[in-house]
Amino acid sequence: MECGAAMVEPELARVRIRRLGRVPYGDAMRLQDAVLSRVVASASAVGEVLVLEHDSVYTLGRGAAEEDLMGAPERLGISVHRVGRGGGATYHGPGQVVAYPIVRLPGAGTDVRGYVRRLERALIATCSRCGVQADSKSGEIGVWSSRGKIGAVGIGVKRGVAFHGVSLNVCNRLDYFETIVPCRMPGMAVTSLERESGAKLSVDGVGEMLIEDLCRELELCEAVGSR
Amino acid sequence: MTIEIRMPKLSDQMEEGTVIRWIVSAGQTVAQGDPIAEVETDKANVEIEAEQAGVVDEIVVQEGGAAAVGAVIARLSEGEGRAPATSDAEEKPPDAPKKASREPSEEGATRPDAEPSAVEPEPEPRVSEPASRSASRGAPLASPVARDLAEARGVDMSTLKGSGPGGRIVKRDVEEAAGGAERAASPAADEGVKPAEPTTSTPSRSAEGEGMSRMRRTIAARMEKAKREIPHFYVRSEIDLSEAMRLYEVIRAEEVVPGLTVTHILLRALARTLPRHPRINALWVDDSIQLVDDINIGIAVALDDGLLVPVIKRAQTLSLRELVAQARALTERARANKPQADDLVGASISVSNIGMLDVDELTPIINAPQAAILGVGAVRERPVVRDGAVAIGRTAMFTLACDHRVVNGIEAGRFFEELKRVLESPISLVLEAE
Repeated sequence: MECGAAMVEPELARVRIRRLGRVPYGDAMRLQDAVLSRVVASASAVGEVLVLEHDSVYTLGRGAAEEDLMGAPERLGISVHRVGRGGGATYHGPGQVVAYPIVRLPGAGTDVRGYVRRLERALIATCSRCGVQADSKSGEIGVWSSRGKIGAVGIGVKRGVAFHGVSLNVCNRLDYFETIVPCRMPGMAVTSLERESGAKLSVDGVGEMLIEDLCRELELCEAVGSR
Repeated sequence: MTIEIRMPKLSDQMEEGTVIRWIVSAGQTVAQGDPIAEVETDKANVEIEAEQAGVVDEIVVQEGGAAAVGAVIARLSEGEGRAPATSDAEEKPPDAPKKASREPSEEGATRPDAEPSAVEPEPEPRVSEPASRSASRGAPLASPVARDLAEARGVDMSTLKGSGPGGRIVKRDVEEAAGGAERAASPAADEGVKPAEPTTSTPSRSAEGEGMSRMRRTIAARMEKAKREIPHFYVRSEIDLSEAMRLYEVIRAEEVVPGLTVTHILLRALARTLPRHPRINALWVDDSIQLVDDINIGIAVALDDGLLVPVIKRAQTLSLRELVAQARALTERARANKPQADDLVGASISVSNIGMLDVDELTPIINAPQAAILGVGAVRERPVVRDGAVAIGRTAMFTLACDHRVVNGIEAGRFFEELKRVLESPISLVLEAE
């Protein structure tokens, strides 16, 4: 039903966008926790979208098996964080744009899948703007182009507020994925916008597109000078 | 009255969810709106809350367990009803244990300044399905640390004699009791209360992984998927290695290529043969065939209860000596379980040679996304026919497993024919790369 041309223009929720650049994973998580606490505390609180790159890190969803990392963290000297999102093991690092929308889910959190699909649509739209055709897969969560998974989704929901979010491979090293079992899918190929498009892309530039696409899909508008 | 906590329906299409984490444990008092568990569906990790206040009576679905939407995952008894597990609930305001113990550990789980590469354990207190459920009227004097520890280790403090000032129970008392108590724990005094999984304190998912190495788990997952999804077919041939063995023995005797093994000669033959058989040196990725220009050969290396497949890169460009050096270095690092970052990636085909054992043949499972894997048995003296007469040759059984989505039988056959020809007259193998 959403996005129908005949529908009344939806009321856009205001959201603060924080363009943070490169942030160590732990710092980003602390910031996310703080924002989450604030948004959870008040139904009228303005949500935020944290847009950033991480230093190299492996993360595990709460229910993920540590074995999926196959000892890569120890071998490569990369830290591991177990975090409160869904999904399996993944890698984040320089060259990958990450966005954490910390926003109240519509309908008091009763349509988690709908929210996840919106995030996927935003990723697909950004890929398309970079000249890369990508799509979701039935039965899977995330976004794939012809040669592999290019964007990942993993969220947490606390008291109706979503946190964590999406990552999109722009020009990051892909071999860090190959040494683990990413997203509980052994042997899954992973690719990036740069690899698919053959074009040089900046993480910041792609990040701006992703912000626009997320705002459109999640029906958000950037609050100027909020907070 | 019993309150049933059910798997929530988190979206229209949701049919089941997985309980990822219990934030509360049996015996604990919860207030309305308190988070009690995390449930996963669609890569979303959703915290669910108590709709009414009560005491957790029973955890029905353990961590890692799946439940259909609407299925009961836990039971609460209303109000302060059932006697809680430990004396905590009587002494502290209902919120205190959660606020005090949950939140900091939650934060801890994402702090970078903790151990750099360690996955932090879950907060200890939530282990606390108590081993003994006798409610303690007139709770004994105990330090807060001892109390937390007792809860975590399932020690009934009413059975302890404190060694602290004024008979106060201190940490040491609980520690001493814990070992024995854990062994002697009688699971259930009260009706309907199940003992907790003893392993719920580990961050990984419960007992299923216990006693299994992470490598074993990974092998299990990969092989299961590969065998299930890849339409394997097999091409098998006995190859006469008499000449190749002679070549090997000469090179060994002359010591011109240090560390040479028969496997290296085989790898060399593959490196020479594969460039003319692109479909055998290919990947199946996202429903399409990817040909790989370089010959990157994964070699299966056995470990104690494990397997690593380090990859010889660009084998077609290597001289025999270089190939041997690379293969040895890779194998050594793998055996020491210390592969370097890119040792294990990028293979376009794999070889599993169990020729060192007294085994005739090996029919391997493809290592996805590769399209083929070669299994090799022991080299033995067997009768061979040469020029119309039976002679004794040294042969081995070669089995090529192929992904039929990528390779057709005729292609596999042609590749095999050439591999056989090269190995049966192996002089080209000692010449430098073409």
